[in-house]
Amino acid sequence: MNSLLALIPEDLRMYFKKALSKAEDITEIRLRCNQPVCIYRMGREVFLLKNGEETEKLRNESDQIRRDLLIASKEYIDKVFMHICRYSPYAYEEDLKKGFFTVEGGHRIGVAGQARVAGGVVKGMQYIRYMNIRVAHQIKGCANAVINKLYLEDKTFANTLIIAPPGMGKTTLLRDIVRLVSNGNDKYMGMKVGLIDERSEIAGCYMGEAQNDVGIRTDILDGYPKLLGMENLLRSMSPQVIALDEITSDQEAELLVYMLRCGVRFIVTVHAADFEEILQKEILKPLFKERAFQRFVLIEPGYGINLKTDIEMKEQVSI
Amino acid sequence: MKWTGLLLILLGCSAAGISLDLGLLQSIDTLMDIRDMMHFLVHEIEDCIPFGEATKLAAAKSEGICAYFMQGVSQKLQMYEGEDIALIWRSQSEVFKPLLKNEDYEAFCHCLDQNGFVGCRDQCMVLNRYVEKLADRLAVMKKKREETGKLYRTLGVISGLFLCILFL
Repeated sequence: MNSLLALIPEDLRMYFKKALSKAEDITEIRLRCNQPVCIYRMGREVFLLKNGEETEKLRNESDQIRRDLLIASKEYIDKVFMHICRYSPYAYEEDLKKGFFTVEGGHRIGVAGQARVAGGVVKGMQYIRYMNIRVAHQIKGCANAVINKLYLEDKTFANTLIIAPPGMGKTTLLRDIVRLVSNGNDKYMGMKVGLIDERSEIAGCYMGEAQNDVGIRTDILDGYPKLLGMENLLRSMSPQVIALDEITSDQEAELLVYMLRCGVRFIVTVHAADFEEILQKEILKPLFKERAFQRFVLIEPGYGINLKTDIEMKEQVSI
Repeated sequence: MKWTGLLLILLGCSAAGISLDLGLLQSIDTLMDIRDMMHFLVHEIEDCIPFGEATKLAAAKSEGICAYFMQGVSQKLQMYEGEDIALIWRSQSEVFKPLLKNEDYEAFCHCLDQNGFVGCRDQCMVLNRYVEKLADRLAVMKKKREETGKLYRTLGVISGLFLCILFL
């Protein structure tokens, strides 16, 4: 049984068995209260029928297909949720406040429902009525084309910034780069990588154990805030390279500047559509000022991976 | 021959009295083990460890039948296919049936009926409430044993003597 089907309680599996037997292209499974169960296959939206088949079209309400659609009732969502949490939702209390948690197999479960508010502060979530099962796909080898270009002449790793708009595969690329840097190859030695996986997206840790292959020399700080994680890694694990997803605050950028002076290399990602757009980001300015990055990897929709060195970037735009 | 028979009657009746006392003692011992086991479980849940892992860790800390029970629950949770944890708990609780009084057994069976709380605090509260009830029950049983233990043994010996006199 695949890890995706294992997320469904046994008595409901008959509806999903056929659809999930072809799980390679599934990106999301959506359960919305009193709405049809929806599966996304590489951007293609299909709805699940009671007989386990899929349909692409939602016709008008009088249509037979509409009647045959598998509707996610309140009880049904409760059952799936409790099954996924193994009747231990309390164990995911902190994650639920953020709206998602990671399960075995590295899949991310996004949830939405009613806020539990006390004294004007959101304490958590209750009445979970919407679920998004984001299927983990590790694409091994997706960084093969760029990996050797991410090293400097002295064979050390170059500080790298991965740039892409949301949903373009930044994390997937980062994961593969981490794996390849950690393992090394014929040309370059493997390096000790410290991975700060704040949202359990990169290694997809479940109970601290990586569900994705992130290399043999990678130490993972799962669920750590990036600032605390960077400090801890630096002190305790003597990493040669630190990898983290999405710089979002000035403090994180400042700490990266500090790390530059500690001899640690890093790989980070940032949301942007092109090279020009990252120059507008205030939080990255201290890093540009220090000329922190030596490689820029841009994932462009429809064009694939575009890599530039700091020299090429300097020629193109004035950093 | 006659004296041997009378001695056997006397010993048998005394043993019956002692056995009644020991039955009560066994219930108390089992409840005390359950109390310890529940403490271990609550301690793990306080650290937000899911039931599957929490029961495994509690099994490692518990002894005897409690360790066996927790191991059973943990193993069933590892093979989990969607059944309610309360049902798993109840089915596994059968191992305590011969050792506990009916009311104690029922209370233990149903102590995990309320589950699925989003907060660790809430889940622990439910289990702690059972542990508190258990502590009260233990206090009552200990007191009862103090009062009735001697009585059972004495009654056993006296009834033995009475039968001996009757047969003489």
